[in-house]
Amino acid sequence: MSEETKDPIEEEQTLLVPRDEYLVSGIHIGTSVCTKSMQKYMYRVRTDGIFVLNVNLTDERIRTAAKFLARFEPSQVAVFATRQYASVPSTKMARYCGFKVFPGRFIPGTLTNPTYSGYIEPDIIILTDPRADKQALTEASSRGIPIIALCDTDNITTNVDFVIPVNNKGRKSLALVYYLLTRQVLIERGELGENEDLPETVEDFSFKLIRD
Amino acid sequence: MSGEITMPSCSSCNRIISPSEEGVTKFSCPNCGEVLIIRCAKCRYFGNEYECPKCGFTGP
Ligand SMILES: [Zn+2]
Ligand SMILES: [Zn+2]
Repeated sequence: MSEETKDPIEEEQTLLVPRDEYLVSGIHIGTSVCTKSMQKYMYRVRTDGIFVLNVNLTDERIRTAAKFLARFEPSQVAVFATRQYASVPSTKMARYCGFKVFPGRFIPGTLTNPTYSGYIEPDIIILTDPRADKQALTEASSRGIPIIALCDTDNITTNVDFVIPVNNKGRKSLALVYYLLTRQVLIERGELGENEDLPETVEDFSFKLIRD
Repeated sequence: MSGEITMPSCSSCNRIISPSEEGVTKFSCPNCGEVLIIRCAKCRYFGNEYECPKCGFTGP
C-alpha cells in the first residue's frame, strides 16, 4: 500500500476505479509547479518537489464532466488533442460518444473562420491541455463556446469553464482519464449500465509506443 | 406587457451583460443542469469562480 491509500478521509469515497488503478496510471502526478488556480486540487508536495493532485477531486470532476457532456448533442461536442499521447485516447472517446475529434496540430480558423472548409460551430469543446491547445482555447473563448479542459498542476485556467484536474502529460494517465470520461458519458446517457465496462480496456485507449 | 424582462448578468461578478458583449459564455450548470450559468469575458479570463445557486457546484 502506498502512502496515499492510508489517508482515512480519502478511503471513504467510492471511486470510479480502485484507488490503486488511479495511482498506477499516475493520474495524480503533477509537475514541479503548482499555479494559484490549481492549488485547490492539490493534495500534497512530494519530497522531490512534485505537486500531487487529490484523486478524490479528479474522480468527482470526471463524474460531473460526464453529466455535463451527456446533455449535449454528441456531434456538437469537439475534442482537441495536440499532445501526441492524447491522440489515441481522444479518438477512442470520440468514436464511442459520437464527438468530433481533432488530434494533432490545430488548424487556425477551425472555430473562427467560416470560409475555411474545416470550420465548425460546436456547442462545447474539450481541451487536453490549455497550453498545448492554446489556439483552440483562444478561438473558443472569443466565440463564447464553453470549454472543458484537462488541467495539470502547472496550467493556468484562463478562459476554462470547467477544470478536470489531472496529469495531462502521461501516456497512461491520458488513457485512463479519457476511458473513464467515455464510460461515464455512456452511463449518463443510459447507453451503458452503472457497473458495465466498455468493450475495450484502458490499455486499448493508450497511445502505443513502438518497440523493436 | 406582463411580467418583467430580466437582463442576463454574469454568474461571477453579477454585472449586467449587454447583448453585444463578446466572449460571454452560457451553459447549464455542469452538475445539476438546471440553472443557466453566464460568465463574462473578464471573469472567464481571470478564472473567477461561479457558483450554482441551486446545487452549490463551484467552477471553473
Ligand atoms: Zn463577470
Ligand atoms: Zn447546479
